[in-house]
Amino acid sequence: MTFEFDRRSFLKFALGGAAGTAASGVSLKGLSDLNAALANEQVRVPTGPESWATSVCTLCPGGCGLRVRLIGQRAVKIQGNPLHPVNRGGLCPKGVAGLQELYHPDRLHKPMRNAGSRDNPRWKEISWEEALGTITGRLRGLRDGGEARSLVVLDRPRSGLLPRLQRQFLAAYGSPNYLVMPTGMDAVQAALRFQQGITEPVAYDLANSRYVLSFGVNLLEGWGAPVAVMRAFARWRDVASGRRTKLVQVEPRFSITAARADEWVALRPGTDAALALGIAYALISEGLYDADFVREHTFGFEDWRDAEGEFHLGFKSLVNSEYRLNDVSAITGVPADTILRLAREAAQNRPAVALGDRQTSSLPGNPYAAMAVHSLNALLGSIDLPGGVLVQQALPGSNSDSERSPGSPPPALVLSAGELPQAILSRRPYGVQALLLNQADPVFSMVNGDEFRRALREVPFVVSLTAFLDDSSQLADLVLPTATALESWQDTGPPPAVANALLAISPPVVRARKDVRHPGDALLALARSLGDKVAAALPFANYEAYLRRQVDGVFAAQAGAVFGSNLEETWDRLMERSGWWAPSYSTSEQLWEQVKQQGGWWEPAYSYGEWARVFRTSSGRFEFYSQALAQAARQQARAAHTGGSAARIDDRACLPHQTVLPETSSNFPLLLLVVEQLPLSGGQGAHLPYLQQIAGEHLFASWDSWLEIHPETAHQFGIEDGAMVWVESRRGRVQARARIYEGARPGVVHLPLGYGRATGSPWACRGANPLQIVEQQSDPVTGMPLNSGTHVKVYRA
Amino acid sequence: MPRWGMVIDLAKCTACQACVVACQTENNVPCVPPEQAARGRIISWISVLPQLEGEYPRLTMRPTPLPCVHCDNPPCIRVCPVGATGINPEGVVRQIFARCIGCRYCTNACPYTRRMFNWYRPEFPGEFTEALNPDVSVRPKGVVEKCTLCHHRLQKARDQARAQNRELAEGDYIPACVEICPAGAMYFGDLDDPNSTVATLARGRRAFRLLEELGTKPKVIYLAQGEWSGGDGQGART
Ligand code: SF4
Ligand code: SF4
Repeated sequence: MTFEFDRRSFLKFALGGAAGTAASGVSLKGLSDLNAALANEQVRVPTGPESWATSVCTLCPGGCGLRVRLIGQRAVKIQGNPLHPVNRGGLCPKGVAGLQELYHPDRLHKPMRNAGSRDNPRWKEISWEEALGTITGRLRGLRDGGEARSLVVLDRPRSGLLPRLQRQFLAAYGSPNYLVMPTGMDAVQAALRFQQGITEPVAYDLANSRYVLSFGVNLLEGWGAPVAVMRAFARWRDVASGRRTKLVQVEPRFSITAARADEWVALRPGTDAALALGIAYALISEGLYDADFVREHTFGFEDWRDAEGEFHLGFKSLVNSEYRLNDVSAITGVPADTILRLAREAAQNRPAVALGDRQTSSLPGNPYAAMAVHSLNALLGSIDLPGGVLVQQALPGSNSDSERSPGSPPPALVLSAGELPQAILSRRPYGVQALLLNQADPVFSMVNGDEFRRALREVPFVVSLTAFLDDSSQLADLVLPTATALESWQDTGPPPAVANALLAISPPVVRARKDVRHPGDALLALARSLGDKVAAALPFANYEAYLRRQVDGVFAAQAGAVFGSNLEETWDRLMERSGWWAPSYSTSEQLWEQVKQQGGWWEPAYSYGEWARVFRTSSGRFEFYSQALAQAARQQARAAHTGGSAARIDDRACLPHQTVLPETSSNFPLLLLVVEQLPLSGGQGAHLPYLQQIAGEHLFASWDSWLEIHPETAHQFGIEDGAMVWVESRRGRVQARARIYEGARPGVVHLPLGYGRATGSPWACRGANPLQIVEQQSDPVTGMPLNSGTHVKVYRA
Repeated sequence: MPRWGMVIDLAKCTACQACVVACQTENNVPCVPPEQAARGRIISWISVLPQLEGEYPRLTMRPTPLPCVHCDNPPCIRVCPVGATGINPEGVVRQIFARCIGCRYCTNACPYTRRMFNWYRPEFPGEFTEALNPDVSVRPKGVVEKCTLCHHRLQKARDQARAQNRELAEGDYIPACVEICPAGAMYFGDLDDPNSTVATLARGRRAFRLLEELGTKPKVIYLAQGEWSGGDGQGART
């Protein structure tokens, strides 16, 4: 097969892209004169001595290692740190665009106090002393009044040591309320909790997988540690390695990941669980599953009886009775022979791994679908083995008691960030007196953003740490400007989905451009001025000193290695596996110096098959039938029938299953699915022109959000390519430019995440925020979140 | 004398566009305002072409990173009325900004659409000027610009090799796009050195060039992405 390059697409590219046409009627002489006149308008670039420094990227949780080129004091280029094990010298476009973050014209200069009202803020610049003094006063007042627990910190997802510092701060102060914005991994984490009893972050050994079955996971569009995934992808296709790993992307829309996959399976939105269970049916009925693994390490595969002798449905009976190929084909729209083939291929190309289901950073996924997908990993024997699903190693020194309040801590307000507005508005279980937003903008980036807006108004004292004004800081009393990556000490830990313990630390690369601080420095200053227990718990002059102390914990662990070359990595791993540990340092001080030099420390070896570590369920096994869910259901039933005998719980509520799809309605005939793209992954990055320019690449739709619509659907609703349209759900409507896209499923439309801020850099305020109209459904039986789209109508604006 | 060329493995490219941004930051390419972007005036020496074909659900997209392909027989230089563009002895197609009169004949002549016109005075809002690379001049309004294969890096690499009293080695000189690629999908080197990585890859059966039939003789060579061929140990098949 040869690659065909047709001129038609070139022409299309030329029209959409940058093509010049010769200006007619202008003499060449005239142009020449004009040119000469313009030449002295030229921008002159100052030179200076060149140097290089090490840093880390903080534009996504990936935390890639950076090498920064400096000319004099100016940072002029960001490249990848070849020694950093996550990215090995490569970077994603965001990391490269980091310079625009540093030198951004819309950054905040100084702390600001709201001298107006919540509805009509008037910002007045103040000093850090005044700002910290105000916060100290408020927090002292709360603590002295016995209301310490009413302080809440809402953080953005991040790795590294800052989460630990915040927990320690809160514990010493007396509040249990440290919350993190959703990560896009929440449903998978729920599956791990229910089926493996694990709360540590999930990880995947993608580089060693032979067959990857992705249920809508945006692998090449910002999922996990983006550069680590891209490196694994390249390895799957390394001809020299002899064998190609197959990537199957199951997804209704033709995404970039689907386009780059070896096979794209287009299914009906929201039916991932059924498809996974159909594949499970095929694996079981054809005898292709890993019978040894299922026998040794799983629970609930066969029907079983509990201690009271009561009968329970097993996974095998469930799929045999409800997820036969033709049934699944009818639900998903995927042909039965495709389902059978996928099962056979996965079984024959192990290690095979299943990922998913689909979720974005802002919308929680469906835990039952994630359980269905994860059950495939159990059937394929891909748990805690090379190429399979792993559990992230903890950083040495974590889980220390200092992160918990002494004595009996007060009960946490809520379990997840999404529930915070309800708790604030209802003052139940107790009220929130102070809220600290640590680089988190829930009003913009959570699906219940409008609820957050209302809730923030009710909190007497709101502080926002942020580098740019945003939709949430707009409702704050104080805004504290934070430093960007290159301006302060930085640290990152193991990024999402990466198994190895890791700690990258880097000193500031350039002098801070503004009167800004790292959130860690701000918190430590606050701890000092609060005095008492908080100051005693965090006796550090600055964040650098805090990091230095944490490295002692890493040294004490007597394991791992400082970042080194690929070759050294292989060596270190071999040595550690055979029980040797030959560190390049002999004191904590040496470790600290080397970490600063090379970029960090990590644990290159992973011990596979530590069943006691990865299966912490009551059965000590992987549970197809989740006993944790059964217990939760029993408790709920008991609470509902106080005094009476507990109602019998439905076995299906404890097993993976396809949840009911929301009803269609004739008023809202189309389904809206929100999509993520790499340049604005996590909904972040719209303020950087370099990223705006490359966004929407498949449609040449830079600088604005767009509505993807299939040509037939567009025709049906009289929508033309490029027309401005309203997209309306029961919740509200937003405007976007319609773009005809062959990759959209008929009847389904898509809006990208990350556009449409109300406040902040004008570059970030372009386009529409789809979260304003997305409906958050939950399973009528269990109350668990569903993620199967929002019904909308589309009409011309 | 080397003949510089690039090989891009389409099997490995993830369509991430890091190459695009790395090029822009390296070469002081300004961002155009949104209104101008909408008119197709973004300057991007390397772009990733989506190449979408087919109908739902039988679609293919072959994202293709496309810099100037540095033709050995470049149609663009023949049409320039003032000799502002030429091909140097090492095969690099260069643009002399000081001579360019902005007639844009070359942009029309390039079948790969890889020449861009500066419609505006370059803008670097706020402190964006701080990030400018002193090794590359900022182009004024009214001239055509294009990929230089990061030629300034070659000069630096040569100086460095000379200072260390040695020959230029493979990998001493690589353009910014090749250097950043997170997938390691791009290779760069001397096509005339039969032992170089690029020459070896360019001889392989997956290799092809774009619009070869025009006789342009491009020095950017692609490797077809191939397809999964089952678990038979065969690797990529073309
Ligand atoms: S993947 Fe994340 S951490 Fe790595 S360069 Fe991109 S934004 Fe930065
Ligand atoms: S950087 Fe590499 S992987 Fe990304 S688009 Fe460019 S060639 Fe493809």
